[in-house]
Amino acid sequence: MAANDSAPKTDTASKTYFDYVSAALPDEICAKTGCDPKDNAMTENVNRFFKKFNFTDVILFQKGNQNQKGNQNQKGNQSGKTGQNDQNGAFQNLLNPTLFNPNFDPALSENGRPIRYLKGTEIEADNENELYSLIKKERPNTDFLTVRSADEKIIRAAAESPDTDAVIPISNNPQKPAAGRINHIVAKIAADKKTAFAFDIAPFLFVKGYRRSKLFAEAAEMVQILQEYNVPTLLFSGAGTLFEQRGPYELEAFGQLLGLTQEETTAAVSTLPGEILKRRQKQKSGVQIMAGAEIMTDAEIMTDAEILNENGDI
Amino acid sequence: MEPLLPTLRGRKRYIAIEVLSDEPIQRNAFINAVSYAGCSLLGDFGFSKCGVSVLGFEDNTGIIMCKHTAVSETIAVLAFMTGVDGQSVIVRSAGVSGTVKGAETKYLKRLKAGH
Repeated sequence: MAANDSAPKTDTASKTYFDYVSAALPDEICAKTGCDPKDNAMTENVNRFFKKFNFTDVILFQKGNQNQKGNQNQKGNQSGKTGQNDQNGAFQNLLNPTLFNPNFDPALSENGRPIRYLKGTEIEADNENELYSLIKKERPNTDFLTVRSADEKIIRAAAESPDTDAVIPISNNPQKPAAGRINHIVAKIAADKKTAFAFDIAPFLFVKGYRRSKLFAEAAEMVQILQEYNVPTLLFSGAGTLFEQRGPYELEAFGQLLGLTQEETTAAVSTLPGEILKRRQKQKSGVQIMAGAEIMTDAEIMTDAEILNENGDI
Repeated sequence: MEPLLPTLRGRKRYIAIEVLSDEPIQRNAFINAVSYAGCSLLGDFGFSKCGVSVLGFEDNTGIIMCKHTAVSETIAVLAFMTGVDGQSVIVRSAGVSGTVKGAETKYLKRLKAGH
């Protein structure tokens, strides 16, 4: 283990920590604490739960293809990641300022502010055409769009799409989770398109023995390729139930098991998701016209002297 | 036997932990669960290198000692614990300190106060 692991952890209260959990989780917290999902106490209880883990931003994901696939896709889904009660449950009440709200500002992610809940959509598709249509359909209504698949073709198609925020290359079957495979071409595409790859701890929790070791080996192989091409890598708990929730320290430790460095794991749970959300906000607000071209304010435009100063030339 | 010189003793880290569960967890059951999870995740040999031992555990909070080079592995072992004595649990590490006193004052007291 690296020598910098030896340093005791300091107080990290000022950091922002992101997590990506099922939209059904707040309802489960309500059921556990016995509060009404439409009540103010609900927000307090759910906030208390996530604050216990030091999270500042929580992305609550729903299945993007639920209506099209119906019950077929939920077969064997024991972790409750369906978000069935989302329309009337705690989920909708928690979605206070999102990207679509002009007051949303990721720069405000500082200690002391309330936990921000964001709307996420997770897409699972059988083929590329279905994936493209689902991305097109879901992108305008969500803050954070992910594609989950262990299929190489789907992973590549998702990485190529500029509308995808993150690809989760591990399938969602709790009994038999399988990791996908990527090659240098997919990694290069993802790096160019700034599509992140995300790994969630939930599929690793309830499998043991050979299956888990294989899952680790496949995920570690992917991480190695992603590191080679500097593809942003995210770490989430991906919790579908209460007891699948894990904190940022645990996620960082999980990332290090997969072969990420300490700096990479810290960025994976704290800064990278914020950067992705900020980029999406710029696109949404019309500041970014196209990739690489955006409208800047006078304050943002740097003078020649400032550029030289930043480059260390003077 | 003469005790080892301070410079020859292995460096340790102390992790303050909290177990979130429906029912209170017994100390012995927790110790067994830690060693089972460790051997399952890292293997017997890998877990032996972490030098993990449970120093104290009461009211679902405690301190776990490990080698200074194996902090992340130990936290990973705790993260992969899903059940103790048939109960579903979440083991949350509150912080890491270089001394038992530091872990107690900085993290454990805060945990016991309910923060």
